[in-house]
Amino acid sequence: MDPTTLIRAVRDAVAEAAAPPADVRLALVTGDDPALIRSLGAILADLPAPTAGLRPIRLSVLGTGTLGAVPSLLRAVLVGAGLAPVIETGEYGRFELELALGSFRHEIDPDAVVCLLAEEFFLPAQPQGMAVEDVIGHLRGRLAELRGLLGTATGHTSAMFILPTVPLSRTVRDCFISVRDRAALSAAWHRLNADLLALTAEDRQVITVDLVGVLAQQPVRARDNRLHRYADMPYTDAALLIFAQEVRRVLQARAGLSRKVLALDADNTLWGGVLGEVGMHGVELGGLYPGNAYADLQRAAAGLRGQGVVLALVSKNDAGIVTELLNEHPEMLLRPDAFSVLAANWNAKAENLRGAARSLGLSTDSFVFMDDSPYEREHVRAELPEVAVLAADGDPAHLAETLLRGGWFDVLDLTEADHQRPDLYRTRALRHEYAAAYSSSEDYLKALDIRLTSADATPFSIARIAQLSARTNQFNMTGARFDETTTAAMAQAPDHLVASFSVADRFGDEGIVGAAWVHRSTEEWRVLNLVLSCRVLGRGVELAIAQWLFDRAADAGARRVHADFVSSPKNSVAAGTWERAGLLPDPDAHDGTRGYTRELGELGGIAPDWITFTDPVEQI
Amino acid sequence: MTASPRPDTADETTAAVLDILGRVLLVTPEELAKEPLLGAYNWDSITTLEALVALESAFAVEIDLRDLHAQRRVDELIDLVRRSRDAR
Repeated sequence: MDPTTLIRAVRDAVAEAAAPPADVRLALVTGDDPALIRSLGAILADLPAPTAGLRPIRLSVLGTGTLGAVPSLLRAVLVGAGLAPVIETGEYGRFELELALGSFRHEIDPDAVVCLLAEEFFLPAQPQGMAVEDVIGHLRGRLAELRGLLGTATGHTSAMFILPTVPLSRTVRDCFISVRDRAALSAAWHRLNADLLALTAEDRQVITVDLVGVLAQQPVRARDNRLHRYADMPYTDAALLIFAQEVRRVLQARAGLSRKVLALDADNTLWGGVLGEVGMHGVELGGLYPGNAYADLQRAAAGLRGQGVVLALVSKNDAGIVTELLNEHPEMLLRPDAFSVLAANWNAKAENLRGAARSLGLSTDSFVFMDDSPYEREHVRAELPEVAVLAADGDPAHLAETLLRGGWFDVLDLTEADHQRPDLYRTRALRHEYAAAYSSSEDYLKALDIRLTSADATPFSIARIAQLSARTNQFNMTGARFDETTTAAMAQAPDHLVASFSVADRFGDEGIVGAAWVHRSTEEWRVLNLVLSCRVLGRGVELAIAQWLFDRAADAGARRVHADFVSSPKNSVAAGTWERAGLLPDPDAHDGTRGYTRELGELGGIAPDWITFTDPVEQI
Repeated sequence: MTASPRPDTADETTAAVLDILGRVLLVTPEELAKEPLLGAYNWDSITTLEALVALESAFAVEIDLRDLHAQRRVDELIDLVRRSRDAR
């Protein structure tokens, strides 16, 4: 999309107070011209919050120097990722005070605090002329102070703190003329950055993104001496755009807005050459260049699959020869069972992508599609603008990096379910075939032998529960999203219950597919939210879960349950659940929120008889 | 007082500079052509630097920040970009 069209489209969206269309949002995420992205971010500042179709997020942006373009760049890339950010900025020169006093919280507690650190924070005022050991000692001291500040700040809030690793400018490094001194300083500086990165493992509320590492791979200056001297801007706009993109990847993962499916073309994407013309023995794959470049892409895709990304093959080819190659080519890394969907046929690719989405039970906005043909890419872009389209043309040596660099599939933590997801989606396709053999859906459901395991949240399940909270849009009763910190706190609190729900059937174990957050008092249990992965919808699992919750409440001596349904553009599938579970609507509904209550003594059995309850303890 | 010279918008460099300045100052190139006095817009220390970076990147030139600060009018700025480009 050219700059003029893009600017006009963003202006139009702001004028209509609406989320920019999907293709415009993708252009915001993939744009690499900092001046343009910054302008777009400035225009987007007038977008109202909340904006329908965008997930609200509150950010506080603090910096050890002038923030400059950071808020605009962040806003543009975050809107691109499907978020509607409200951004508060810290006062210049008050970085440490803001952290120490917690004043970054403003009126409302932010979801994330972005801290733009620069070298000045860690360095002594005049390192020139100091002994290098003294400079190193100072760095250690400043890191300890930063740790202390972050420790204090995380105590004020449940927000996530996002920091960069920090480049060291040549003006400082090169002022030490002894080669050994310079090496010692560089070693200390690398250690400082390693310690910053280690904060990510030490503290659940801190995430450090490796700005230094990414800058090293791109022809971008970290600092412009003129902007630094004139306005205390520690970084160039180009470096800040890289930082903003890294922050976007974190926040997109946190919000569960990352993509789940990678749909790959075959000819000249998975291998070199056109299979139908050159035959299985003629394709370029493995061995020397360019065959090794295609093998590299396959390795990258296999790596993604191992971490939970669902693979689909979408190729205009005869199915027979594709399957033959997948099975028999010795250099093929992705065999047929690596793909949850195999669509080798002569249908339009957009049609195949829609079909894949249907059979996987996922929306096409969770798809990334990679193809070497500009025609196919343009066609998919026009038909399905929400699909992220990656170009596989040009030199095949770039294929793997093209696939990976956008961070389309990022998650905060990998859970057991992520590792199993591709297999789960394969069994799901098998289950569809099995269903066809039964005369009634009830017979089918009985034959499935569905087992529900309900359990209180444990330290092992909390990451998965938080992930479900962020990622589940369809069967999400209230839209209240509880992150990991909040969920962990609720699981500990005596007046709350956080439960996870696992489902297994004759085809396999789905793992944890649902979660509930409940406020409990002696009189009443209030379901704050109930989410269920779309993988298990249509099997009555939600009613078995409701039954389990109501039984727990009755056992605890409560008299009444209350639950809400808050409708959203995506959760109509969940409407009516509480009625079906036997609750009665409150007369005073308002703002799209419908409340439901019932005396527990009046509730009968509601769980479908084809679901068996199993005990988590017995299972082990 | 003489009538202020207006930038020739048919010229390619002029059009590109007006486009970039318009994005930075959040006004249209037409408005800039009509009122070329930079002081009439939000031409402060921040937007000056934003314009510097955008112009340098678009024309692949380096502009001396002191020279940029000395400019008062859009047409002077266009001349500065031209001079920087010719000096390459």
